[in-house]
Parts: sequence; structure tokens; C-alpha cells
Amino acid sequence: MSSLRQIGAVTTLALETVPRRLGTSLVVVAGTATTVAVLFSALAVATGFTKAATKTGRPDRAIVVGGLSEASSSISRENVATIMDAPGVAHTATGQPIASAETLESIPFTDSRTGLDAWATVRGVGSEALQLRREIQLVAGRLFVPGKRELIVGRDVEERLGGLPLGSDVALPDGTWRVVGIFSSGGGSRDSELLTDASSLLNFGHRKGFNSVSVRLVEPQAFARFSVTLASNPTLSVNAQREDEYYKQMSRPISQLLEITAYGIGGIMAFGAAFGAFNTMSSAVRARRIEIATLRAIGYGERSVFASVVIEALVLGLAGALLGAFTAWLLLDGARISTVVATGTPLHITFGLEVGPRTVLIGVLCALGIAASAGIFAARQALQISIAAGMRKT
Amino acid sequence: MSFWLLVWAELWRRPERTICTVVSVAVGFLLFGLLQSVNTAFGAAVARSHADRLMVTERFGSSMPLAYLSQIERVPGVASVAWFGLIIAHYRDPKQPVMVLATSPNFFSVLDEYKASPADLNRLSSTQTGLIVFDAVAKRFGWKVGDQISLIDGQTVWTFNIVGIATWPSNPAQATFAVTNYAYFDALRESARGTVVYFIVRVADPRRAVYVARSIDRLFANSPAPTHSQQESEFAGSAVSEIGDARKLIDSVLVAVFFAMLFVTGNVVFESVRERTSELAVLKTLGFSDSRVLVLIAAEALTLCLSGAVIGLALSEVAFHFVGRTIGKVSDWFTTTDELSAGIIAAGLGLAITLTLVAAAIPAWAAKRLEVVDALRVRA
Repeated sequence: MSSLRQIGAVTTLALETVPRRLGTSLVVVAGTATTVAVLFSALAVATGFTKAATKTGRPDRAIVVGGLSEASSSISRENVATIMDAPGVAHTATGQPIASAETLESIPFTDSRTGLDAWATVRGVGSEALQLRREIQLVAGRLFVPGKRELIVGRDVEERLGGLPLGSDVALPDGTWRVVGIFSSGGGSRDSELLTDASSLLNFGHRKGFNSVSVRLVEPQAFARFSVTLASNPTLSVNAQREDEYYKQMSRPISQLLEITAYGIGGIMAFGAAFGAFNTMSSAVRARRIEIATLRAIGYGERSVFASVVIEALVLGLAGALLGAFTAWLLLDGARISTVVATGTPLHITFGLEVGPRTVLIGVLCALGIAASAGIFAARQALQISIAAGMRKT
Repeated sequence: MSFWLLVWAELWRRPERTICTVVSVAVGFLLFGLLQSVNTAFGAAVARSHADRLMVTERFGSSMPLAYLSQIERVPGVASVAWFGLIIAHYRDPKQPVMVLATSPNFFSVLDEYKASPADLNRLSSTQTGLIVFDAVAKRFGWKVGDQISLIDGQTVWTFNIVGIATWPSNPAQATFAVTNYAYFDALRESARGTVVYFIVRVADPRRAVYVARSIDRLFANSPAPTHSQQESEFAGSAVSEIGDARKLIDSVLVAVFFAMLFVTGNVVFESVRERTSELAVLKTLGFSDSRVLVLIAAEALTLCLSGAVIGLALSEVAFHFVGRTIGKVSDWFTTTDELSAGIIAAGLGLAITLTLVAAAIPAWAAKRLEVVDALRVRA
């Protein structure tokens, strides 16, 4: 008998007896399932955040801030004009620079479902903002009229606040603002913001400086020209970055933290689950003692016995992985999270949990790793069973 | 004594199984300790930020009628309200200004970061001219309890009897004022009687603080003295509403971990009972009562779970230093203490006992019900 067929035969035998050892076998399944479910969820948070936070940036746009980030920056009106006049900035057919000087406020709203406070970022934008960001599409209603304290609401934030119906009034500390439209930008962090015109918002915050200036470049390569011009202008002390790089850099600390957390918690759980799984596999080997000794006596090799134990573990681990992934998917599907990002922009971001193929692969590999390590150690015990002692009835 | 010897012997019957179980449980409790510490740190950050507190001032910076009090107290979500008026006076020399807060009797309980002894507070409420001085001021002017001092505020000379010394442990450098009774202040002052400068509102749920603030402001929007209510720090308010999401995630991870631990320990106890069926029967034959056998199995499980818990919690104490530092790098708002709090240790041990009870219930019951005759019958 070829060794492959031997392995097949012994493994089939082992798997057929699993239902008899269901209680212990479930330990492997439950251990890997919980580990995979937790790892899955945590990675989904990390992936979802990173995706939402970086999707906003485009290489053919540049953002100019006065400090380290948009939130802690102030740019004067004169500087805004200088920045928009810099070479490399694209212009409309009528000669207007495609650029937007923007201002941010973090403003408390009320979640209409729970009555709890819900803070959101309101961004005041310039007149060319929709030329600049063509991905912004009105889903319902109309655009705000500058100076009239009107808001358009991003899809995500609209949902987070429990619905802000068109035409509804929002009571803010300085009076009422009216919601006139709902927009979508196709899943970026912009969907977590409310937009209005910059001057209304500057009045609201009693502020004079803008937080940032965003411009469209004539082509991505024009960034070098643009940034060198700004850097060499002594009247400016600003920082220009490609928009995609800016958002990547802003989200990196949180992305990293979320990933470290996911792998940290997942790794610790996997370690614990491996020890639990070893107990199971080791008791499976004890239960199959007589069977194993008999098989050895009639000529089955060490390798096939070893393989049968490891494969049994892998099958149980895989079942756990699927169960865990399925449970996580049931719990996560459609779940959305919002977080406050102290260091970056926007200040508040809502994102969907994202399960990518990479997450699935990592989850399955993790489960197989747990199962394999437990299986290999138990299989070594199986080989130590001597034929004579094993067949003796205890 | 021999009872624990028996437990010990049983645990070392299969050393590798016992060790693996303890490691597995310890890992679970390591996660428990870590995640609970993070949770606690979130809670501490919220408490430190006083997100549950609103400062209500007159919109244009003047004063408001004390009569607002009863209306504010009726706003849904308001837990308690303190108030004060201000005396800006000087001691002996105009270059030595002293700020005196003329406060409501509940001032120290609403602003609980200020610490004064109950005896001092009693003396303040029973002495109309009583004054509690913060330690920095007392030290500067050499004031002691029992001193009578005079402070000058324009034409008015205020006479106070110092009845106590208060501290502000979290911010000692700013503790540069004194506290007296509003009633005394209001009866003696020459103008603006019956008004206050600040209401301090404690809300029942910090997650609704802004909503409550708006409700208060709406009440007085069309009065001659409209109010402006706000949280002490805006960022704290916005973070509080979103910390809930993080806590929910942490809680669900802990549920998953507990579930996994339950399987691991439950299975081990179950197996060890099954393996020793005949031994347990022998014990019963030797005179062990049914309930004693039940306790024996439970004690075994308890030893497994508790030793796992102790090792795990000890590890998490070490690990938390690292974790706290990592998180601290991203957010300066989130700061952690270095020690596992007593509450978490107690909760962890409680969890270990719960785990034992749930995991050992069925096998221990089975062991109790075991019939000697059945158990000793040799199966063909």
C-alpha cells in the first residue's frame, strides 16, 4: 500500500470517530472560532478605517495647511490668494483657480434615534469646491446658498445622526441652520462631514483664518512646481502635500494602532487557543490508543498515524475558522463605527467594517496555525504509544 | 489538609494537560486584564474631562437671576446645580488680590475635584461669615483656621472667619481662591442682589450634555439675560460620545474570550471526571459523601481557573505598561495609570469563580450522582 493511501485510510478512520469524541473536538472548533471571529472583527475595523480615511485623497490634488494638520492650522485671507495664484494650479474655463479655502468646526448635533450628543465635522468650502472634488454628488436636495447658513450632509453622517431630513432645521449655538441637501463622495471620509460655505462657518466660529487650501493641479507632476513656489515665498509659512499622501500620513497612527491591536489580541488568543486545542488532540490520541496500536501492528507506518492526527486537527481548525468567520460576518455585516480622530482630518469619521480577501486569508491561516501546532505535538505523543502496551486493555 | 492533597494529586495526574489548561486560562485573563485596563483608562479620561458638567453663564458676560435655578433644575437630564457669585477683593494692599466664590451649599459636592473635610464644610454652613481658603492662598498670606480677616472690595469691607483649608489635588497651582456662603454675600452686597455669575450643572448622562445645554439655553433665549451653557472642554464632549463604540468592541472581545475559556476548562474537568469514574467510586466506598465528591471536583476546577487567573492578571499588569505607552503615543488625551486597579483584580477573580462554577457544574454533578455499583462494574 502506498503511503499516501495509508494516510488516506487512517485519516478517514480518525475522522469517522470524531462524532464519538464530539465534546472534546468542540474545544478545537470553539477555540479557533472565537480567535478567528475576534481577529476578523478587529482587522475589519482596521481595514475599514484605513480605507475610508485614505480614499479621500487624490494624487492630482494638493492640500496646503499652516501647521501639522488641517485641524491645527490657520491661513490668512491674503495667504489664500497667494496660494491659489501659484503655478501648477488648474483653472476653470472662466479663469478661476480650481481651489477651495476651507474651514472646519466640530459641532455637536443630536442623534435623533437615541437623543445622545453626536459630534460631527462641518467644513466650510469655497465656491469652486465641487469643481475641485468632482466625486461629490448630490444624492438629494440642492446645494447650499452661500451666506444663508445652509448645510449639505454627507451620507455617512446623515445616517449616524439618525437622519437629517431635507428642509429640517438644526439648532446650533448661534441659531438655526437648514439642511438642504445630502451628498455622497463614494465612500471617503468626506461622507462623514457636513458642507457649507466658508464665510458662514467663519462667522459661526468667530474666526478669521482658514484651516486649509485645497487645489487641483493641472497634472499630478505639477506638484513639484507648486510646492517649490510656496516654499520659496517668504510671506508664507505653510506646508503643501499631495492630497493622497496627506490623508495617508494623517491616518497612519490610528491605522497602525488598530492593526497592532488586532494582531496583538488575535495573537494572544491564538496562543491560548493552541494550548486548549493541544489538550483536545492529546485526548483524541488517548481515545484512539487501541486503534492506533492495532493499525501499527498490521503494518501501517508512523507517518500515516502522524498525518491522521495532524489532519484531524486541521479539519477541526478549519471548521472553527469557517464558523468564526461566519459568526463575525453575521455580527459585523453593515455595522458602522464612528471615532474621533484627535490628530487628523476629519475630526470625526464614520466607516463601515470591511472584510477583505486578505482578512479571510489571515483568519484561515491563523486557525490552521493553531490547529497544526496542537496537532503536531499530539501526533508526537501518538508515535510514542508502543504497539504492545497500546493493545493491552487497561 | 488531605483534601487539598487529593486535589493536588489529581491535578498532576496528567501534568501536561493541567499545564496547558492553566496556560490557556492565563492567556484569557491576560486579555481580560489588558482590555479592562483600557476600558478603565477610557472611563478615567472621561471623568477627568468633567464631560458631565456644564458651565452656565450669562451670554454677554454679566450676571443671571438666581431665580433661574428652579427652572434649570426642572430640565430633564439635570442631576444637580450649584451656583456662585464672585467677590474680587484685596487683602491689605490692592496688589494682593483675592478671589472669593460665594457659593451654594452643594458647591463642594458638585465640583468634587475640590477637597474639603466634612468638618470644615459643617463649620462653613453653620458660620455665616465662614470662609474656606484653598491651601495656596492660606500659605501665601499665612492664614490659619480660626483667623478673622478683612477683605476690601471697593467700598465694601468683608469680614470673614476662616473655618477650613481646602485643596485641589489635581491642580494645586491654580488653587488660588476662597469659598464663602452665598447667603452672606447676597445679604451684604450693595448691588445686583439675587444674581449669580455661574451655574454649574451636573448632567445625569454625559452623552447628552450638549442636548441638556441647549435645553437650558432655550429656556432663557428671549429673556433679558439669555444664558450660554457649555461643557468645560469641547473635545472631551465629542470623545465621550464615541468612546462608547470602542467599549462595545472591547466588551464583545471579552465575551468571546470567556466563551473560549469555558470550552477549554469545561472539557478538561469533564474529561478528568470521566477518566476517574472508578477512582471516584472507590472514594465513595471509602466513605466520601456524595457532596464531598462534588466539592472535590469543584475544588479541582477552581484551582485550575484561579491559578490561570492569577498568572494572567500578573502578566497583564506587566503588559499594560507597554500597551498604555503605545496608545498614549497616538492620543495625548488618553493617559493611563501604571497599575492594575483593585477593581479589575477583584472582577478577574470573580470571573474565575464564575468560570469554575459554569465549567464544573455538569461534571461535578455527574460525579455526585455516581452510583458506586455502576461505576465499578467492569465493562466487557
